[in-house]
Amino acid sequence: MGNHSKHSPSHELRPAGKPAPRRDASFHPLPPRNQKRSLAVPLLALGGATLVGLSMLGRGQDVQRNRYDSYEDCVHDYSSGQCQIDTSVNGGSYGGLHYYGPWYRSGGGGGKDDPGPGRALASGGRVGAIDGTAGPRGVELGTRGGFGSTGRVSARAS
Amino acid sequence: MRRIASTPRAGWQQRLESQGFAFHTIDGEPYWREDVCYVFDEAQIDALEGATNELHALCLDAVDRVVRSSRYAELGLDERAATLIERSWWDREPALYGRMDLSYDGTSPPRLLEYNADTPTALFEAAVAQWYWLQDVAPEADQFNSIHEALVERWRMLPAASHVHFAACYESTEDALTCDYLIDTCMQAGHRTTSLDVEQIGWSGRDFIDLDDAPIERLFKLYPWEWMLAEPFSVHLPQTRLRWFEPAWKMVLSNKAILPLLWEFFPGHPNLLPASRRRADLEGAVVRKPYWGREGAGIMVLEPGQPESPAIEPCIYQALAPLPVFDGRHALVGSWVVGNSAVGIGMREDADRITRNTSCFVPHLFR
Repeated sequence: MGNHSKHSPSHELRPAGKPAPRRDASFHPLPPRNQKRSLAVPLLALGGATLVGLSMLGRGQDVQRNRYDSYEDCVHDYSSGQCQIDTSVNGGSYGGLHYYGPWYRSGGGGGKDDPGPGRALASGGRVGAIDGTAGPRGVELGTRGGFGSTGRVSARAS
Repeated sequence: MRRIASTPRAGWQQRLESQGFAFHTIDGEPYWREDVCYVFDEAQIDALEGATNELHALCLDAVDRVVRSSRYAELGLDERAATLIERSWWDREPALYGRMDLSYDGTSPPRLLEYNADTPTALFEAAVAQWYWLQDVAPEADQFNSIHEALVERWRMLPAASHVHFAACYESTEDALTCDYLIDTCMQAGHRTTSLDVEQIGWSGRDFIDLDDAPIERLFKLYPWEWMLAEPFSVHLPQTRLRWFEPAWKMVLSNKAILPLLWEFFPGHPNLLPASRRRADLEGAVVRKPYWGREGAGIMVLEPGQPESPAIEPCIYQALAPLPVFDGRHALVGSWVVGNSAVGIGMREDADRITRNTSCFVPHLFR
């Protein structure tokens, strides 16, 4: 009883005769490696000064983003692509979902790519001001510079 | 294993500088030397490769034992570090690279002096500069150096077209070159890269962010874990699922206090040296090493019976394994591990028996 019968499923699955080799199963041995050094050491960016000039980027700066009650208020200050619905990153003290503009440098020193504080604040409006279109209801602060202090006074690498 | 004279290439300084290696000479003293080179035979290279692979396996075993038995206190690691280590270890976070410093004279088994598992440098010199030197000087010879290929391949473990951030202290030219070279290898693996200074990493309240305020998902940091844990942003470390290179479990290996544990776990292993947190446990001359010393800082050789000055930081003791001396220069083998494989070596030498960041890099070959 332990033997499979001629018509058992396993027998039917077994191919009759030698199957043609699958193209994707052909074995291509790696060429023998006769050396322990890299075959080539191309460099894409090094030596050409194409990497970021990091010393020019300046030290860390604090960042912040505006919080709005509505999507319309946010796109009034920014654009539709810059506004997103999100929860507070500061522990949710404001409760629930709000609309947020992009992060920007605190202090206005962000350069041309910095999205800035938004139209309401940039024109002198204050946080929480309510007029025809409400400005931001608050700002959330992010920070920079929380790593790196030890490195200024010690050897890093080993 | 020999040290022989070699004729420097014409315009070798410009050749190195064209590759981005500008600190070949530091304060008028050579850091890169190609007026000499080290020559090995094939069996010696096989011995170094085999020992490095063996030691790396022992180290992974040791990390597992430390984690399973919570022996963090013996490594000077606190609860916060332990949490990060365990999470990264159980998540099997992959490592990128490391460099073992070995004492090897060409005859006796290589012995592990320390494992620079977290922030090793002298990478470009080993992977690139000495490779081009060999091409120019002795192309018919071979070199134990597939570091570049291995790095590119290792980066391919990440999902295709990943975005990887790189952070270093770019004020240091050595760190900058190491980091920029790794960026190059990452790009060659098909990934997108962004670099920034360690100080420029931001915290949005939920994520670590780059200079575009975009969340960082994968971060290579040429910055020691123990320093990060001592700094203000350390409070955010447990809150993120960011993938770090090197992963937090490397804290166990980059700590000199792993050396006594390795000796405890694998006593008498031919590639290890007796080590202990108590000097009295060891016979003969010993080397006192701070847990987190870098570039030879704080290392002290103590002859038998020699009194020692009080240590201002936790230290371990390791039996002295004198480096071989060639022409008055003490030679140290830096053996590179990429992923989990030994992939090459870089030779450093110094007139002093302690290798420091001023020690010269000398290329090698084997036949």
